[in-house]
Amino acid sequence: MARTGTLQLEREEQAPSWWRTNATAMLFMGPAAILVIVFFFVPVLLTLGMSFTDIATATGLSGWQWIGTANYEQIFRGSFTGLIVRNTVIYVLLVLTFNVLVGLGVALLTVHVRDQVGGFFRAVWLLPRISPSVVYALMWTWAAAPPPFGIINEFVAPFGVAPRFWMNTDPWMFILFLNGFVGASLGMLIFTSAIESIPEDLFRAARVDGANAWQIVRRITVPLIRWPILFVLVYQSMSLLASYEYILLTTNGGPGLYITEVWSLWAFHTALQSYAGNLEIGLGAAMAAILVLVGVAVSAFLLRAFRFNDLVSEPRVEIT
Amino acid sequence: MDKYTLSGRVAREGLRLSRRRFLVSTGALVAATACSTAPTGQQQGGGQAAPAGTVKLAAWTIGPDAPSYYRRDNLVAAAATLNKELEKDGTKVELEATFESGGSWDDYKQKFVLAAEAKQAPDIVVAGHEDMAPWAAAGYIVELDPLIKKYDSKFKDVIPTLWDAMKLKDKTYAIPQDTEARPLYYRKDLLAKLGWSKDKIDGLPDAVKKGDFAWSDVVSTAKEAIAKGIVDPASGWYHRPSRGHDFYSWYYANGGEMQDKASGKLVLVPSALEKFYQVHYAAVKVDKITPEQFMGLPGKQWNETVTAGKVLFYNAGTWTWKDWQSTYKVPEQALWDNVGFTLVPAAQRGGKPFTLSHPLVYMVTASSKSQELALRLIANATTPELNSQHSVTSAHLAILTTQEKDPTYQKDKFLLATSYMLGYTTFIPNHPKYGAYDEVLFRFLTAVEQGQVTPKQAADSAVSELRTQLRDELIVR
Amino acid sequence: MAAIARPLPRSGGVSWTSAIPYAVLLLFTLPILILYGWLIYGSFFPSMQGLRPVGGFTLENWRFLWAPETVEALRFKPPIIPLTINTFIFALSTALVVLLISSMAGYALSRIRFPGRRTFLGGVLLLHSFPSVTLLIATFIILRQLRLYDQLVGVILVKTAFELPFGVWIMKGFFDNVSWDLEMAALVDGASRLRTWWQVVMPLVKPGLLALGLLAFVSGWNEFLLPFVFMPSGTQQTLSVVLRAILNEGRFVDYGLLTAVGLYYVAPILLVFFFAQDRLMKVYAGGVKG
Repeated sequence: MARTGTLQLEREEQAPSWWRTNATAMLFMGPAAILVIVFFFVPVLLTLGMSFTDIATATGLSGWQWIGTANYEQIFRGSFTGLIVRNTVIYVLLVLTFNVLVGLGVALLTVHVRDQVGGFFRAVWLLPRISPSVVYALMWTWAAAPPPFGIINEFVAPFGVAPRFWMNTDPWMFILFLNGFVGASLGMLIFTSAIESIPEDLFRAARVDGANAWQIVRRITVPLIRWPILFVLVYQSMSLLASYEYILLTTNGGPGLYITEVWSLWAFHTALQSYAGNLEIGLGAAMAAILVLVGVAVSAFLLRAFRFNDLVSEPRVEIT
Repeated sequence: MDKYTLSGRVAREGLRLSRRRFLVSTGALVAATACSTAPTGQQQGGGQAAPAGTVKLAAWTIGPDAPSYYRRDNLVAAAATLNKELEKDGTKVELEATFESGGSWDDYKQKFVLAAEAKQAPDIVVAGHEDMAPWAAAGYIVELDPLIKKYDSKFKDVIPTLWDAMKLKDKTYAIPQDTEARPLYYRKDLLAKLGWSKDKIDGLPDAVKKGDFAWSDVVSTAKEAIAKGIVDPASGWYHRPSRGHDFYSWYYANGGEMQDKASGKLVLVPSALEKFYQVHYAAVKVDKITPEQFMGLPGKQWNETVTAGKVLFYNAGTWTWKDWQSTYKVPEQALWDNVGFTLVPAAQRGGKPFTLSHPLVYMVTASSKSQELALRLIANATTPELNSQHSVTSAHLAILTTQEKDPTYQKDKFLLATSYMLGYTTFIPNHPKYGAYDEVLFRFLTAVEQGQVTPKQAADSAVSELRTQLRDELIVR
Repeated sequence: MAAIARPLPRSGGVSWTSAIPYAVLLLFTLPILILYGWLIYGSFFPSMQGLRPVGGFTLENWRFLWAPETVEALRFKPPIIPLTINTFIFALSTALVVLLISSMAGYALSRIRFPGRRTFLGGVLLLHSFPSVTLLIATFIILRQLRLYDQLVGVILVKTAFELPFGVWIMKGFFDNVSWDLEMAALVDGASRLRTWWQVVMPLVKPGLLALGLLAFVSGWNEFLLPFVFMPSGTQQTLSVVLRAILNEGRFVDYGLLTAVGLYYVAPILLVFFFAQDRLMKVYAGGVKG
C-alpha cells in the first residue's frame, strides 16, 4: 500500500495530497478492507447473481442457465413458504422474548445480591455462549432424551408430567430453551453495565419516597435503560434471523413437516443438504438473498434508531 | 520518551523500515498458516510427487452402518491383486481409502459435491445408485461402458437386473457394490403368545408371498396383540424411524410408479400416494399400532426396543440383522429363535408383495487422472470372494450370480433365506431431480403422521408442490 | 456501584426477604448448572439413566485418550490427539490474525481521518449481525477460486472475516480510551504512525488485546459450521466436526464415551473461562456497546 502511495505521488503531481494524506490509513485499513470485500461483499453479489440461475448439483457450476426470477416465484408459490415464515417469526419472537426477559431478570437480580455472588451467576450464564455448539447441543439433546435417559423427565415428574421425548413431542419448547439460554447472556451483560451506570441518587430518592423494589424497577430502572433494551431487541432479532446452527445440530428442522425449520436453515438445507441427491444451489441463493435484504433493512433501522452519526463522530462511543 | 527524540529524517527511514518489516511479518504469518496446511493440497488428486510408476488413487466409502467396512477393505484388497497384475508394467497403485462409519448421507454427499466442484474429488466414490443422475449431469462422474466392455470378463457374473439401476439413459455410470432387501420382521415368540401354531408362524413368509396374508392382516394382528396386552400400546408396528427409501414399498404396493420407462421422467400416481399416506396415517392415528411422534426417534432407542422383543412387526433393512448382533449384542441363535422375516405384504389379499432394494455403487469421478486404473481396481473388488465377505459381515445381498456358490456366502443362512426377496424388489429412480421428489414425498409423510394434514390433503399438496418444482419433468397419472 | 438497586440497609439482622433474589437467581440458573454438572458427572460412569449412573465409577470412558484403538465408535475416525492439535492451530491462527487485522483497522478508525471512515464504521456495525452463514455457497466459490477449499488457511481466513466486525469495533473502543498525550509526543518527535501504533499505543491496549485474543480463540475453538463445510476431508479436521459425526452415529450412542469426549473438548474453554471470566464479560458487554 505504502509503496503504491509513493509511486503514485511521484507520477501524478496534480493529486498528491490524497495519497499522501491517506497512505497511512490505507495501510492500516487494507487487510480488514480486503477481507470484508472478499468475504462479505463478493459473496452477497455472487448470491444475488446465483439467485437468478438454476445452479444445482445436476448443472454443476459450469452448466447452468439464467432463469430470471423463477426461483423467487417458486419460493413465493411454494406450499411450505408460509409455514417457514411463520416458524421464523415464532422462533425469533419466542427466543427474543426469552432472551430479553431472562437477560433483564438476571441482570436485575445479580446487581441486587452480593457482588461476588452476582459475578458468579453472570459467569454461569456466559457458559452456554462460550461452549462449543456441538457440545452444548449434545447436552440438551440428552437432557431431553426419552425415558429412561433424559433428565428433564425426572425434574417434571413430581409435577405430574408424563415422561416423554421432549425434542419430538415439544420441539418448540426445546428450541426455545436451547437457544434462549445461549442468547440471554448478551442482554444480561449489557443490561448489567447499563444498570450499574445509573446514578444511585435516583434510587435513593425513590426509596425515600417509599417506592418498593418492583416500583423502582418499573418506574426508574427500565425507563432508564430503554435504549440498551431496544438495542438488544434489534441486534438479537437480527442474529436470530440469521442463526440456525443449534437447530441444525438438534431437531434439524423436524420432526414432521418442517415443524422447526426456519428460513436460514431452509436456505442451508436447500443449497447444501440433500438426502437423495440434488443440491438446489440457485434456489437456496434466492432464499439467502431474501434474508440478506431483510437483514440490511433491519440493520438500517438499527443504525437510524441509534443515531449512528453520534456514534461515529464522538471519539468515545456510548450507546446510552 | 527518549526513544522518540529522533530527527524527522531518521523517523522517515524508520517508517520505511517498519512498513517493510511489518509487511514481511504479516506475510510470514500468512505463510506459516499456509504451511501448516500444505500437506492436504498434495494428497488430493493423486499423481504428483510420487515416484515414477506409482499411481495414487483415492476412494471414499460410507456405511453408514458400521459392519459395512468391507466397502473400504475390499478396495484395499483389490489394490493388492491389481498391483500383482500391474507388476510387469512397472506400475504400482497406492490406494488411500476412507470409510465413514455413522455419519449421514446428507453430509457425505455435500462433501462430495463441493470436492468435485473444487476438482478435489477422490478417484472412486461409493454412494447410492440414484446419486449417479445429478452427478453424471454435472459431469462429476464418467460413463463406464467403454471400460466395462474392455474388462467385461470381470463383470460377466453381475446379476443382470442390477444393471438397470446402474444406467441413466442407457449409459452405465456405476458398478454395483452391494444390494439388500428391506423385509418386514416379526416376533415369533409374540405370535406364539397370540396362539399361532408353529407351522403358521414359520409359514408366514410363504403366506405373504402367495398374497394370503395382506397388509390388513398385519394391522389386525398388531391390534389384537395390543388388545390382549401381548405388546404395549402403539407397539404393533415400527417402521423406520428416520428418512429412508423403505417407505416407498407401500407406495409401490398400492399401485405407485416412480419413473416412466420410455421418457425417464418422474411419475406420481395420486391415488397410490394417498393410499400410501393412508397406511401410515391409520397406523398412527386410527389403529394406533405405531407411536405418535415416531419419526426422529433415536436409532439406538428404536433398535433397543425391537431387540428387546417389545414390538410385534417392524421394518428394517437386511443389514440390521448383523447390526443387532454386533452393536446390540443379540446372539444369532436368539434372533433365529424369535425373529422371522417376510416381504412387505400386498395391499389387498391376492395382491403382490413388495420390497425395495437400494444398491450401493462404485463410481469413477471425472477429476480422476487414472480412470482406467480406478475401474480395474473396482473390477478386482468385484469378486465372489470379496463381495461375499462383505455380504456375510454386513448382511447385504449378493450382486454376483457366482456368490451363491461361494463357500462363505453359502454358510450364511440369513442371506440364503432372504435372497428370494430380490425377485419381488423395486428400485428408486435414477433422475437428476429425484432429490426434490423424495424430499416432498417424505416431508408430507411426516406431516401425515404428525396429524398436520390428512392423507388426501398430503397427496394433493405433494402433487401440486412437485408440479411447481419439477414442471415438465413430472408425469401425473 | 452494584449496590444501587439494593434495598436500604436495615437496622435489624437479615430479613428472609433478602434471600428471595438469591433463590430466584438459583432457580433460573439451575438448568445450566445441572447440564454442565451432568456432563462432568456422566463422563465417569458407564452410562446414565437420567441423574442415576448405571454401574460404578470408572475411567473407561476416557480410554480414548490412552487406548483409542479399543473404542469402537472411533474406529474409523481420525485420532483425537492430532484433532486436538488441529483445533488448537486453527483457533490460535484465527486469534492472531484477528488481533493483528482488527487492531490495525481499529486504530485507523479511532485516530485517523480518512475518506470512507464513516461508511466503514457503519458497515462494520451492519456486518456485525450479518447473515453470513447463509452465504456459504458463495463463500465456497471464492475459496475454490483462491484454491483454498479444504485448506486450513482458507477456513482461517473466512473465520477471521466473520470475527472481524466484532474485533474492529472492540479495538476501536480500546483505542478511543487511550489518551492522546503519549502518542502526540511520539508523533511530534517524528515517529511514524506505524511505529507509534506498534511501540506506543499497542502496549497500552494489552489488556484489550488479551481479551479479544481470548475471545477469538474461544470462538475459533468452538467453530463448527465453517470447518464442517469448507474443510471436510482434509487431514486437519477439527474436534467439532468429528464430534458431530460421532453424535450422528445414533446407533452406538455410547453416552459415557460421548460425555467424556464432549467434556474433553469443552475443558480448555472452561479453563480459559475460570481464569479470565471478568475480562471476557467486559469485552462481550463492550463489544456491542462500543
